[in-house]
Amino acid sequence: MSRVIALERFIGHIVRDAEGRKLGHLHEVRVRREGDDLVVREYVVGSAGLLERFSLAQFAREVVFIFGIDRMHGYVVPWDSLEFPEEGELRCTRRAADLQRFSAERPAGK
Amino acid sequence: MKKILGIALGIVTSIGGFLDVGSIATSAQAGAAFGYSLLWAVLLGTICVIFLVEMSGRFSIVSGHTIVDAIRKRFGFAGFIVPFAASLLVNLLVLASELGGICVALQLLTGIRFQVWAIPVALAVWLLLWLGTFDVVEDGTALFGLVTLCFLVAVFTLGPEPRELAAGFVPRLPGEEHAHYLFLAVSIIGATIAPYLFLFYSSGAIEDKWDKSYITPNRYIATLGMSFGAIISMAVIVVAALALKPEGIRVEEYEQAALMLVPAFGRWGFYLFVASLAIACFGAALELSLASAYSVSQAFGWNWGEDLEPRSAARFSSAYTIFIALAALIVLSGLNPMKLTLFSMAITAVILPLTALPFLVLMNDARYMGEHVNSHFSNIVVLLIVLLAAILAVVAIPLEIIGSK
Amino acid sequence: MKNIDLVRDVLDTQVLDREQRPLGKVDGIALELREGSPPRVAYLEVDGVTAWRRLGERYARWAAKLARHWQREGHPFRFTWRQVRDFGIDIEIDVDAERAAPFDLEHWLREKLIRRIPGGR
Repeated sequence: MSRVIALERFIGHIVRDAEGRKLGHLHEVRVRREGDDLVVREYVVGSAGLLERFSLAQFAREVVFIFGIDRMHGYVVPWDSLEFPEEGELRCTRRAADLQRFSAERPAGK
Repeated sequence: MKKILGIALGIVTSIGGFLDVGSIATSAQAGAAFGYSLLWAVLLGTICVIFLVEMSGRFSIVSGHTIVDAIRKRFGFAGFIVPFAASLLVNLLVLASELGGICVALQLLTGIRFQVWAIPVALAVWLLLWLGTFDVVEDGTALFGLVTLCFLVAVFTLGPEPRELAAGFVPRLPGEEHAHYLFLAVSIIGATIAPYLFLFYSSGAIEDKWDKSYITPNRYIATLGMSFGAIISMAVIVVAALALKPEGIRVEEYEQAALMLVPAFGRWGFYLFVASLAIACFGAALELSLASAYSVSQAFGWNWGEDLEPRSAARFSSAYTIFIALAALIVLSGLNPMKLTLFSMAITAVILPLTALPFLVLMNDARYMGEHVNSHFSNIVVLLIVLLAAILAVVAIPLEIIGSK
Repeated sequence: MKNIDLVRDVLDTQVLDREQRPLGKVDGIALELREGSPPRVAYLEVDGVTAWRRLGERYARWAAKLARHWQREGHPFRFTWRQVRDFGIDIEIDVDAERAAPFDLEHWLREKLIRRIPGGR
């Protein structure tokens, strides 16, 4: 059974962990090439950054990043640990504590 | 040798293209009402625009993107759509002001009401874009724009007191009319740092296929071009201060501004003013229309380019056609051209952060800029000036509206 | 380059055809969720309505109503990664832009507007 989703509609959406705690927003989907296919390796769930939503506050935060005043934090969620339900928020099937964390000085991307 | 010629042409283009209806209107009013005391606003705006234009060129050279294309890619469709829409709206108002400027110049010349000229003028602007190429537009603007040097000549003829002049570069509130002073300061900054300027510059860099060898020439073009252009803007303030203020002539309409070159040139001064107004606005109208069409095309990934025949870039050509038509309608509506210009400039200052901040983020993103990311100094300069202008504008615009009731 | 960041490097990136002509932007990415296997990219979309849908369903409906004037078949335009020939600042695909669905608006405007005005050639 497979399902096709429009990924662009989930970018920036809130991701919660197995205990319902907010992990962050879906920032990035990392894929690797497998022949002619692109296959998901992991998802990046970050704390801040402009994502599919216009927000002056977020712009301000990005500018703050530029001066190295704050950092972007987040989690790396392996491909088998994120669910895209038909309705409701994105769900990570692991707890935050079990996830690999990262911290970036300057925002690496969207 | 070719590079030096290129730099020279770039500088001349920037001079000729610097003065537009916004600079003329705000500078004329500023000089007539407050003498030299708003020169600092032109200086502040110019410093900021030099940084922005240099960054714009450097960005396109290093990243291979135009700014609009990159803003969408970096922030996503939903993240970029609001700044994008806002900048298009402001562009439209400013284009209507530029077309209005040409129409007013014709009204001054012939006595025929400016609205009557709206359609012929719009048609002329459109025709040049339809049949011309990027180089023709650029070089034409540059060459004819040099007529605005007459303001500089007038300054030397009228001989201002250097020490009084210098005092104008220090911001100081006048004895009265604080709200109007602030409003003009904000409008001057908005007129100087027009976003379409640096967005257009970025498209131009791509259209001219600038490579990394242009990084240094770009710096010269940005600095010298904008500086010389600013000097002409300042010249307008000085001439207005010397010619109009002592007579108590306030610039409420362009008719009064047209008198400012008479002391220096006699009867010819009137015609020089009219010619400067018409030519400066015509060049700006061409650039604005193109800049808006570039923005839309680059945002949606369409083929674009002034060098392409309209048939090969129908969406791009339709974009500037519709834009010019809408602007012409605004002029036809009979809105006071001077008031429209001043408010458009002030609104530009308000909207400026929406375009400048995302651009600033891009300039610090190593994935686009590699080792050519911004220095902290550049970031701070642009950030401070842009935010200052926006805050002042938010304060000054309502005060001006209340004050003029 | 074995690894690719979809949001950073693919979404909203300029798409060029085999002659390096602009085709549009990557407005959408379809992910196929599979049982027991990692999700894969099913196809990429170049379509204005898809882009507006990212703002909300209401915008998509408005955009679709507008687009009906010029859209023929083949919408939304989709391509697979196999059709990608080059991937860097832009994504170059093995397609002819003039024949591809995103150019419907271009063709429509050429017919309606440009053809009727002299000098457009």
